Amino acid sequence: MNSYFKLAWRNLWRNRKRTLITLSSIGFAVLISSFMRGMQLGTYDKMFNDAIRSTSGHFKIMGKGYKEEPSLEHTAEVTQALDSLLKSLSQIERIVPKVESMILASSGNYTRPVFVFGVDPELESFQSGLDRNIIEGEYITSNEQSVLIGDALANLLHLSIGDTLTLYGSGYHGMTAAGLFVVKGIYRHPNKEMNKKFIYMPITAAQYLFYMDNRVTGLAVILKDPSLTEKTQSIVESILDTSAYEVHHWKELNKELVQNMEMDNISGRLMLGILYMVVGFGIFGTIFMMTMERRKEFSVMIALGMKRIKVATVVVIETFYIAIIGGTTGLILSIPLIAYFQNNPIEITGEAAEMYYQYNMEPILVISDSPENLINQLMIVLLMSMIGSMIPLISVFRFDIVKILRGR
Amino acid sequence: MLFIIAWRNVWRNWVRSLIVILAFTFGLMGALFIASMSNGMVERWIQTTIDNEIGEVRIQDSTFMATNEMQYAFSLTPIQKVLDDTKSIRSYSPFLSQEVIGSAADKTTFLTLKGIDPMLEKKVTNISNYMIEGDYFEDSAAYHPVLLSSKTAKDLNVKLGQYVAFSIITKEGLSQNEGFKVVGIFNTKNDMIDKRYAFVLRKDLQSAAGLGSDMINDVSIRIDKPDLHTEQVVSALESQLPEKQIKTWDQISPELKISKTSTQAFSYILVMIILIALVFGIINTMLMVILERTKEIGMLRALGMNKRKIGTMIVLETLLLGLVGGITGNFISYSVINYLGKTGINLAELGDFKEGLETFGLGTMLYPDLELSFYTTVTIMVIITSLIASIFPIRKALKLDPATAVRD
Repeated sequence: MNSYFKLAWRNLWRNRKRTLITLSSIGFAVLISSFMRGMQLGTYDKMFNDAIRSTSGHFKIMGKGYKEEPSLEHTAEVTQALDSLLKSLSQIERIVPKVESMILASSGNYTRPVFVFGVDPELESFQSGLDRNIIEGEYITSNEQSVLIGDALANLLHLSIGDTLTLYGSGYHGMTAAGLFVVKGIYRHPNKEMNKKFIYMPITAAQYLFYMDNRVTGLAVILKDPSLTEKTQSIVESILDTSAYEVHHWKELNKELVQNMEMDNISGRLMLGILYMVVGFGIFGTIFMMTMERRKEFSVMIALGMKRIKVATVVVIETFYIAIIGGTTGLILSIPLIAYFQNNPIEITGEAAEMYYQYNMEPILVISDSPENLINQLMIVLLMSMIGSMIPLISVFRFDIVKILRGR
Repeated sequence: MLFIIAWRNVWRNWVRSLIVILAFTFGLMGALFIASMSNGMVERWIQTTIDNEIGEVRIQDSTFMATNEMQYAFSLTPIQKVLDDTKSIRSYSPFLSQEVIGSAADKTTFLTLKGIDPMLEKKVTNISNYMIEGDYFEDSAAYHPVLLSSKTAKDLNVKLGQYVAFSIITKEGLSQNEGFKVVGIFNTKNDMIDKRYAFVLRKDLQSAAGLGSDMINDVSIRIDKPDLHTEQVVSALESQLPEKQIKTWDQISPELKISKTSTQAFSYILVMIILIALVFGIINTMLMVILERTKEIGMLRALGMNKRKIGTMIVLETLLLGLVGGITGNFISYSVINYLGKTGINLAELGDFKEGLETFGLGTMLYPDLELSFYTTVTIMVIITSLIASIFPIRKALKLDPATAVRD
């Protein structure tokens, strides 16, 4: 057996040019497919991470019935027990409480419907970078009766820093929620609708406004290790009183996003399939040519008494060598390529960039550095090459040596 | 002469040539097909948004748009005259709208209340075709009728015949709750419309806001053969209504246009990646060809064929490989895309995508569609690619020394 390997190895370097051509076509296949799939996977990861980071957390604890009917009646009470339970779980990185509801905002003769977000100012600046969007005044701090409003809303209500804003609407248990708040800061977000509609205040102020005590509309839980999401979620679910709370995975809370990404993934896979086909044709083509060129050589060996099966074995080993060397080279070359694009993501510019900002996303295309992707691409290309090796294999068993030896 | 030689060379080893040609054909087919799917999806999104929500052209007032105050509503009569006299306008619907909080019991939701003239609106948007319960303002004697989407009705937990309160802001800037009776429920399967709009009679909204029956803040216009007449209508309206803003659908909703251009850009990138992969295949094949024909090329040179002619021959050979594949690919794709563009593809059969599609207002049927210019551009790209791919083999061929090549 050993001699087969030796023979195959020597055969490879006998015609260096031909081997290099085949090697390069396999290496290139791995390189381009891992790049393309990496881009796709990177985009999905980024979308999901943005959604997890800015809204849903890895999972979210809500009051019973809030997902079906988001009203203040279905808010969750953050009890001592809940708090200490969540603090005892070491896999949790942080917990982001939020209160959100609709209310009328007015100032003088101007009234507008708005969304109130009661947030933990520090966590919010960490999560959405709201503090970086402040264009006038200052960012809010905990435990104060002040609000941040968008520049468009400030215009519509004729408000400036230090003015008082009246909020009134309905609170918990249908009580009339009303309060006066000082405008501490004005923000400008790329999403113009937000600037018109969203106002932010410290969560304690929102709880006071809506008579909610220590209730929240949601507790987003962010984990240190995303792979523990399901496990941690079921631990929390098993301990929580399910008549008062419900827990939802981020995929449930971002159903539309997940579906759209899955749909995109179908076309992504289709693209990848086409790419495999194209590079596959390339690999088959080179292997096929290699075989045709070597028919005479094979015929001589068979004529000299080497069994066809042995010739075939040598040929398969040769293709195997080429596939492994070419594939690994492609893999090794794709590492710096992916590393480069990870550190220098492709930036989207112009109008399309505006759209990314509107959806609260950075306008960049990220490439995934998942080693799994690289290995998968290598495996697929190796598989294609091995299928390719069937061409010389079949050919070795079929050609008529007499005809070939007699001349072309 | 050279052309004939190149053509015969291509078919001398027809299996090998066929591999390259097939790679081109299938590669292009795949790329064009994916491009046609994403383009078809965006086109449909744009069309349904125009049909169900915005119309082709809008007349708005800059002061109102900046302040959103009801006191800046404007009079319809002078505009109506202009609209009736302008050619190529198929229909138009003047309306009064404002953002309100809709509430029923303890449920609240944000809505844009559109006060319409039902008969005129019917000719502009398709809402009347999407009624699933009740009817489209049939009963002219009904008091304060309102149409809600099924999603809004569910959010507010109201049924046909029940009342919803809207916080209507008056001309003076005060907010005033008005009750409206649900007479119809619609479902356009487009979240951007369903979660956003509720329809009432224009006269009801006008009187609730303290405005006269002539006062509106927007006109939505549908145009006969929009591709041909939009520009002409816009300029006619602009000259006759200089104090108003005349906006086309892409100015009202720039994200539609941006999505179209970025989808197109991504499609070209995809074609480019596939072509790069194909270049590799061609280069490899042509290098093999040169390796194989060393003797022959040496002979041609020795017989007096000059370098330029040999180069041209190789370029022609590469070009033929690319073009035969490219044209076949284009032709097959064109027929398949046209066929599927008529029958449509049911995405529901591919997976669970309903909600995701509905966020963009798309049904589950997808109609692939691709502009002719895309095919031409791709063909030009194929020619350029083949030319680039021939550089390397030419250099190789020209470097051959006739004497050694023949003897070898």
